[in-house]
Amino acid sequence: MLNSKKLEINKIVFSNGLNNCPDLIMREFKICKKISACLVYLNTLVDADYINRDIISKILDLKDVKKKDIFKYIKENVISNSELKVVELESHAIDLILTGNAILLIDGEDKAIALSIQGWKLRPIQEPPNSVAIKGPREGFTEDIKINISLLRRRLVTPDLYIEEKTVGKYTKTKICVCYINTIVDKEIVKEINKKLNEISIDGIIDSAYIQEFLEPLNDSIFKQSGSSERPDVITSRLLEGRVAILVDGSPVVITIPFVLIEDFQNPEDYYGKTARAIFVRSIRFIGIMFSLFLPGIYVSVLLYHYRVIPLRLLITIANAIEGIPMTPVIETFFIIILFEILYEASLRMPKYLGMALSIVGGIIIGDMAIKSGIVSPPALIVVALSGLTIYTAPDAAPQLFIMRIGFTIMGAMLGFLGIVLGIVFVLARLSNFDSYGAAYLGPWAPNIPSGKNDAIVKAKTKNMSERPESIPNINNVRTE
Amino acid sequence: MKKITAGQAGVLMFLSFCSSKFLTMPSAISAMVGRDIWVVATFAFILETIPIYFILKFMQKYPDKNLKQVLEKMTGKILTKIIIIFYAITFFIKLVILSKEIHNFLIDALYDRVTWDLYLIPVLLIMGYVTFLGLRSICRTSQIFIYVIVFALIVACSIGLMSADITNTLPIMQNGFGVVFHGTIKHLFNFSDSIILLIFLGNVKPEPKMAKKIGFGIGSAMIITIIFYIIFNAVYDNLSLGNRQGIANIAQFIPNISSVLRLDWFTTIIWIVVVLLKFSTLMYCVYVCLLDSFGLKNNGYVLIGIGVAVYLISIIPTLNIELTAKIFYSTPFTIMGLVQYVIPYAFSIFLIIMKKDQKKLKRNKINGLLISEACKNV
Amino acid sequence: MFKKIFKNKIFVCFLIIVIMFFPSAMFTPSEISGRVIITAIGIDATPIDNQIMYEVTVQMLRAGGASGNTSNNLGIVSVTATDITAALDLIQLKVGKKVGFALCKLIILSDSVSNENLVNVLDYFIRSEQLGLNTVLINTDARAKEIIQTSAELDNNSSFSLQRIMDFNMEHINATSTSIGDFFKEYYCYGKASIMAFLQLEDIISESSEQSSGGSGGGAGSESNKGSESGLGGLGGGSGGSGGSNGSGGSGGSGNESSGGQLTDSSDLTKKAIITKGTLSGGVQSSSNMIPAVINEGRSAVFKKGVKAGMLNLEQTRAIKWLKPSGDNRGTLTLKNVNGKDFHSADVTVRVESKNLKLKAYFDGDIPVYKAVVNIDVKVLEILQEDISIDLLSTLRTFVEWPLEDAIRAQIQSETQDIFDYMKTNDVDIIGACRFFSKYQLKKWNKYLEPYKLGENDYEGYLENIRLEVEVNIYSKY
Repeated sequence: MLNSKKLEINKIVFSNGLNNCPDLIMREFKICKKISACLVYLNTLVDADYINRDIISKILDLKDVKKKDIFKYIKENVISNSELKVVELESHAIDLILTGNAILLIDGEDKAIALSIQGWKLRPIQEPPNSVAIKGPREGFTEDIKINISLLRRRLVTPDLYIEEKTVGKYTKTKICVCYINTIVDKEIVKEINKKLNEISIDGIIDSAYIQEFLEPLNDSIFKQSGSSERPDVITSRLLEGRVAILVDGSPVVITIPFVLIEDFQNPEDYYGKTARAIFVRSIRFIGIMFSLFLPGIYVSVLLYHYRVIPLRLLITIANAIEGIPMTPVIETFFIIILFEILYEASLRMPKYLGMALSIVGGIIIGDMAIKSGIVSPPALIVVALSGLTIYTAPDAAPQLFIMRIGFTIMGAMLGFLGIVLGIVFVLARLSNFDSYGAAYLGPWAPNIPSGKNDAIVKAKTKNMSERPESIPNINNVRTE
Repeated sequence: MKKITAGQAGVLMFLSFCSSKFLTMPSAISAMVGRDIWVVATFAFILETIPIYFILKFMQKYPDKNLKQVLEKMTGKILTKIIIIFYAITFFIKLVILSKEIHNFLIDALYDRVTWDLYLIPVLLIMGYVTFLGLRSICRTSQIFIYVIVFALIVACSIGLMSADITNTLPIMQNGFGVVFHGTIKHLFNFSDSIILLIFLGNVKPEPKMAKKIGFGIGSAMIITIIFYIIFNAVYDNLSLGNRQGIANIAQFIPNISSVLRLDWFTTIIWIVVVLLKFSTLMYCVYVCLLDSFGLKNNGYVLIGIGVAVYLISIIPTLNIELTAKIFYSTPFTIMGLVQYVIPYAFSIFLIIMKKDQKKLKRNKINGLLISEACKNV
Repeated sequence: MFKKIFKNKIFVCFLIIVIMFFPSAMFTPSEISGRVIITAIGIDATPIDNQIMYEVTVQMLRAGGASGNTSNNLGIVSVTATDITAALDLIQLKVGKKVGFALCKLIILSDSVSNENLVNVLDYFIRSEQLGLNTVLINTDARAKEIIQTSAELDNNSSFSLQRIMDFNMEHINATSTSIGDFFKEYYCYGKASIMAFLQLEDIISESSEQSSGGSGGGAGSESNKGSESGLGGLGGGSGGSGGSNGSGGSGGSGNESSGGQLTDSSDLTKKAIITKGTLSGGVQSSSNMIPAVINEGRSAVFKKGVKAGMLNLEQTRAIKWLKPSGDNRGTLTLKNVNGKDFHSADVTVRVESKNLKLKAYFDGDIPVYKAVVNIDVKVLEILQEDISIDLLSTLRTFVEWPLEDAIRAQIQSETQDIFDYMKTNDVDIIGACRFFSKYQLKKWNKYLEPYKLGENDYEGYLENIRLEVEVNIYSKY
């Protein structure tokens, strides 16, 4: 029940509740020329045309309605809005106003009608820039959660798609939707996620990345423990494997849980073309990742400790190339890595019209001249450049790969091949011990899950993937009947 | 304690069996028996197969019983403690010898100079951490590497075969069976990796073909070791005793392309992984034995203690691998060695005792049921 | 913030490791620049004041030259010392860097060293973990230092020409590899006999007034022998040629009588693969210039008990392949004065396409018999006779039939008997007959060996009663 039935008092309450903000509109009018009413809304959030056309003009057209019936009459016969609620609490009403609703207050009523008439500008559905597929759907999630849900609903035409809504964030009151397919998902995962979301106490959620931090069990790890994607086709396929998707209003990035490491090496395009090509491309990707991780470390360790593994002619080439370079191999390699990352950051942030000129500066002047002046050697530059480029064969894993690359380079510099091997064993042992919401992080290799290997580096044909991968816990692992 | 699957156990046994046998052992055995290193390996493996069979059968029938429980049932608490301490020392000896082997391997195969006092610290820290994560972690890590390791083995054997003359293994037992037998007994300690299986007792998830899977892992390792020894002998003939690092040296012999490509570093690096995994396994075995014998819970300080002990012994400058082996083969340790060999064989008796116990239990159950039935009627 | 970081034990351990190792690793220069990387070693011995002094010459990698021209990448250092270890220490002192043998593929031993037990000389190398067992040994009658110097001054990667010659020899001439591993294997076997590749150094006259050089160093000069030009199983490109007439030239130049090319198909058995010391960086040489040249005639040195015991010529060296299964050993056979279906008294050259050798060891009573069953595929390469009929040019005429088969058999049997007689005369078991018998007829062989035993694993004179049987089966392809 509203505090008062008197319109004037309610107006004051709402006005104070919204701090008399400049976009607050209180449109007063008389119903049937005798009953006072007021439409309260924020004009920055609503569709003004709709208010004028479908609410105020319709109400003003009313004739001969008794005062005691007016509320019910308007609610049931006048307003054609599809999302109409009756609100009895001021705090609830204020929340609704802040999310693009208009509140209709009628003098003499202790309730109000809330009408959902959001009218803010939205980004259109576009292909996500960092997840491009030459063949396949071009749709991507947007910042509006409703549109995102609709993208999922259109693909999963089943009542088993459960969507649970939550609100998180003291000031942002961000809507979060937990989506899963009820007949596939392991309920323990849903329970765990809901528990964690309910425990969140924060002033605001700006992006889904905020939620990720709360959901990931090992926060200190450089390895991520939840997947993400901006593509509805990817999220759909992950839901079909038994994962839970978390949509966050205001973010086009959807989180999926649980996460297994192999996800970062899969690309949606693998599924839209020939299987043989997919296997080939995945193998190349895998090799690229090996290059990105180990090439600088191997280069440094070979130069410092293991010259004997280089065949003689290659050794002559390298020896001639590094002759006279003022820096030691370790310093040189790290110098080039830092240079490369600076160029990368600068290229991301620089204005487009400067892009061409600065890329010439970066590529030709810095790269070429650095070699000609004898500051760096060509082998080191090739090694670091190749490893830097090959990181982006798996862009989702790029942050981890970058840090691990540095780690392996340090280990190679300190201990040679032994250091690199120790690093590999350490990383793998740590990851193999880790389960993300019941899914083994390194599945399907450790532990060995044969059904999971159908979609690891070697991809089976879609028609042969009759079972869901057991790497992800689920209650129904039969895909096809 | 998270249990491992039979497949994981099989993989880890495969790696534990293979690892150190491809390093200095071929040359060490060759110094005693000449060309018959593969015959020594065959005999040693035949001797080991018998206890392995009984242990696996026991594991299949009684998957929940661990070593401590079995020994307590059979020998009593005090003797159990003594036996487990002996096993801890045995594993510790193997660990120290393995540490020395790693040192020699690195010097011979990859590095010109290794300050082992310093290099051992990161090895102990990292492999200690891996051990601390548990047996499941070690097994899962092994599972990831197994494909590459088998590939490296195939590469090494193939390269060796290219320049091998298989007839170099003839004549078999040229110096007589006595020499071969003596060599087998002398190196039995190095071959006895089957005792690692005792630590797996009670830690493997029960499944129908558990024994077969683990047995397959062990059997494959034995076969590959014998094949490698044959190839090693075929390549080096009478120079086998001078080639310390079998798996590393043998991959050098690629005719005509060694000026363009060298594959020996590939096999060497993979073998470092194998040896490190065995290092971690042995460390785990020592750790578990100490915990069981002193009744401790999962304790990182015990691991630290083991690491410090390994480090201190490994850095003693006058200790080399031959001397270490000599000391550890001396009389007090021989007694311990007897225990080490007797217990696995004793599992044949344990099986019979457990079977009798089960029959008794069944009988008691039936009798109990009959009595209660009778009471009801009354 | 720091407290939270240091609570993470893994990070702390990583920090400890980094603090221990990284500062020194950061300032460590590359091993390539801090080490003498040796690609070849030469050892000579000189008696000085009743003591043998070893002159060790090393060919080492020296960075700084253009990559395409490896002669600028090789340096030579030579020292004299009482033993190999001392010599290498002196080299380290001289150059100021540690030595690295991992890429050393050649050890050249002069006759001055070969006249004493080589096992003592090579003891350092066989114990070195860096040096591979497939390092090739070469014997020479010249100074090893000169061989190394000469080979180092060539261009176009031919500084590795020695190695390539050896690879070529092993594949096409020698029946046995002459690596350090094999030398020691044979030494510690019953017969203690082995063979080693042999190179010699000769001064040849360079008659060209103008030496064009494709770079520094030369290609191969030509010999006056008919069709004798041989490249060196892969010595640079077109290295058999010469720019101008005789003498050195750029690689790939065309000579007068020289045709360059590979060794495989030359008809004349006097194969001379010549590496010449060419001009450095181009330039003009005056005429009548004597330049040292490394000559490979396919000969081998025979070693018994580690000491040089004799020499084998090319034919003898090649004949070993009929009695020992190792190696590819194709090559050619020249048959003189042969009659065939369509030719008479012709000189015929056939090429052995493939060879399959089965060896058998058995006892005929008390006589050990070493039987070689040689199965070969041959193809006719050349028929030289006056008045060649057009029929002989038919491609169908490349197969071999009687009586050419008989001639081939006779040739092979003669070659094998020749080498076997040499072995008996000099008591050098270079085919490893003793080891072979011990593999298959241990008891009977041990009994046979008893009278010849001198000491532990030391036997002499056992070859005298061994009988050789050679059976040749010829198959031919079109």
